[in-house]
Amino acid sequence: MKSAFVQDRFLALLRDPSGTLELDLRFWNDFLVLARRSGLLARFGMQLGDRSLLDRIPGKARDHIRAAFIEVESSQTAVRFECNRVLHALGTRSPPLILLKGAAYLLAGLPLSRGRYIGDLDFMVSREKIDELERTLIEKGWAPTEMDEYDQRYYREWTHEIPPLLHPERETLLDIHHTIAPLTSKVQPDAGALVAAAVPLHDPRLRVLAPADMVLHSAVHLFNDEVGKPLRDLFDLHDLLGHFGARPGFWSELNDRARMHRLGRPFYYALRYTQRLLGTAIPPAVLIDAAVWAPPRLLRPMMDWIFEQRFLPELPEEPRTGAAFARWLYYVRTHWLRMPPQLLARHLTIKAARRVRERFTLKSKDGSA
Amino acid sequence: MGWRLGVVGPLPMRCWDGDYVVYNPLSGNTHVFDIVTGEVLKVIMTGNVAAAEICQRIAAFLEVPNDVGIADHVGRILVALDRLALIEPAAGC
Amino acid sequence: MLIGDIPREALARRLRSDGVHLVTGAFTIHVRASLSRFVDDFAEMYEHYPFEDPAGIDDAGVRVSAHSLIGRFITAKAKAEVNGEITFGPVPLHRAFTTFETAMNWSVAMSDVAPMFLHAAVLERDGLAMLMPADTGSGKSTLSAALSWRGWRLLSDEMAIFSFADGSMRPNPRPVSLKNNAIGVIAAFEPRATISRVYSGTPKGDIAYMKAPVEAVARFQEGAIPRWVVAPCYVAGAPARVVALDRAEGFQLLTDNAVNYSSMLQTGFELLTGVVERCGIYRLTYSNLDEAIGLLDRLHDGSDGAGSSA
Repeated sequence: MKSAFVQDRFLALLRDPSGTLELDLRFWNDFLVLARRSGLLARFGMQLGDRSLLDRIPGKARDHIRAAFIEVESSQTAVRFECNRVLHALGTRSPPLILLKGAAYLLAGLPLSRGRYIGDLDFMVSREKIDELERTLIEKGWAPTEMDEYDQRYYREWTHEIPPLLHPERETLLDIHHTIAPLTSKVQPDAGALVAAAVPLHDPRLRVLAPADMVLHSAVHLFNDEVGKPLRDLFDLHDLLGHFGARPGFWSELNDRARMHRLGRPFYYALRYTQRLLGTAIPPAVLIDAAVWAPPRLLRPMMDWIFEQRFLPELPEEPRTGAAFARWLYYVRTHWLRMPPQLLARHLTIKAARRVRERFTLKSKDGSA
Repeated sequence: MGWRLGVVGPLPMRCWDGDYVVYNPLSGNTHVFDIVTGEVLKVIMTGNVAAAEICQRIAAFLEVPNDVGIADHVGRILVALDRLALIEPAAGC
Repeated sequence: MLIGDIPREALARRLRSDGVHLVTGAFTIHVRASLSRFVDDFAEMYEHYPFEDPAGIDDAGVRVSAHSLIGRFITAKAKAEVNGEITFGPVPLHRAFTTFETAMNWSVAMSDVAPMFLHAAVLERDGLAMLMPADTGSGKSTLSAALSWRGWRLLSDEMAIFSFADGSMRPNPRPVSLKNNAIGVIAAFEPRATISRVYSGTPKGDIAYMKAPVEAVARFQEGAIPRWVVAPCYVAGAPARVVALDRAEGFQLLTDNAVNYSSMLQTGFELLTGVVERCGIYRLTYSNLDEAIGLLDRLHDGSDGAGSSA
């Protein structure tokens, strides 16, 4: 009961923080826990600041929000610095680096980067440049993150990345991709078209995806991958659509690119769930056009249920029944989307075996302590 | 070859009895430097400077001849500051 | 109303159900527990602490419980969870309180609700704070326990917390953990000190807790301005001695002990350089508590004892 109530008002407040002034302290407490878990507390704090409300909320809440600002600021500095160091290492020989996800929002100065935690530096280069780039960075001091043989093979053969690199003096992960979805996956965006349409930033070596591609990447990542903070990523989509939506021609471009990249399904989901849960302003005609990519009618209620379970955070003490099951279904679904069936079986089996092994090693550690 | 700061604007810096404590807004790191390194940074903070001019200023500061020893020492300081992303090479200087 | 005002049975019931929103100064921790042995220890050590009722905004939650069903059949164990995310223990049931204290320390460091945390003891006199940044093993807990009975108010024996508003120190006095010999040393040093039973067989040997003095708890809303930074260093048999350090050394000392300096970016730089410029900075070597306190009192009185021995 209580958590359903919290969650209803939780989303409403994240969308419009002016209701904050009527909150009682206990509701504030639950709100702060949920917002922190969802990775949205600093974003919320920024919105309060924009409305000059930060000074009018309880002092404790303000301290929690300031702490979230610090965490975000520090993460953004680290990613900006890592990018600076990559350019420093590559010099003028650098191939164009197409920044992705958080790093793109940050370095392109998009409004949604305000208050957004950014964990890694993700970028994409064309496939033929990636090996040379990896070699150069390793020469200049980056090191492949430690992985066992299985993970190494999994990365190189079946994903759209090389194993992440890490500079030993810093803690920022460098994720280098050559496309935006795994090679084996059923959805195969046109990598050449992504590169060709990318937009240069102030430093011409840095680029970001064109607006429509950026939205589609965010969507394919959120709806076809496992992500740590699904609601935060849904807000990314909400903010991207809000930001680019006002540009003339954006919506038809988005529709065209979704068709061209064959990303219709994640595009449809992006529109459906941003609108359903966050009230994103989407022109009705766009929604009607996108409906051709909807899942079969019979499947729709279940997909709604799975996704909504996934997006709504839980209070640690009150896990919702169904939430864990929905997450498991989602896990199976993302892997099914990404890999051919025989590979899927292999991946799940090996992962499962590994997880059992890890649990045993943990147990024995506990026991000896 | 010339050098300039890696960031725009003066670096937050404290000078305490010959020790320099410097904050790098780009990396978020704080560094403690000796007096000569601090002096090199202060010279570069005035704008784009050629390495030769830095040597000259440092020699004058230390009141020693501007010889190969100074050039060598300053050269090593510049490499270190570049590695820390406090300074970067500046073209056309 | 204080923890000590709740009848024991009611406290146990409360800790088992809705929990207690314990105020320790800078923080409010939502404490829940289902182990009766723990309730007794908790009631004793936190007797003079207030709690929020009705509850407001918690900074963290700590829950003490039995380790697991299987564990209970073999040998009873206790664990403490912070925010339902990190677990401490399991430890033997009789040591539940020690794992609770560890979880409390972590919950403070994890809660992130202050601009800066230093591993340091903090004591106050006349509104001015003395920070003692040091690792464990330097004797800072023992020394701050002793100082807390000799005219210095205990803000914390463990963690220096700066306020967002003005960079002053926020008190967070908690039971002072004493290890091995220090237990007997403090018992002999100050008869008024209330010391818990001894928890033996921990990875650090014997541990007991000294209750924070009543005055330290009663005044835990009063902050203090940093005035001295003293790095304590216990050296067996050494005469007490205070040596002034230069500012760069002091800065290094503070950043080395700062939990979150690097994520504080320029704010952290301004804060700690400000502390260094405002404070006298010293290294204290000592073996005898009375001698050490004599030297620190002289620092306070302005006749700074730098470079001299007791």
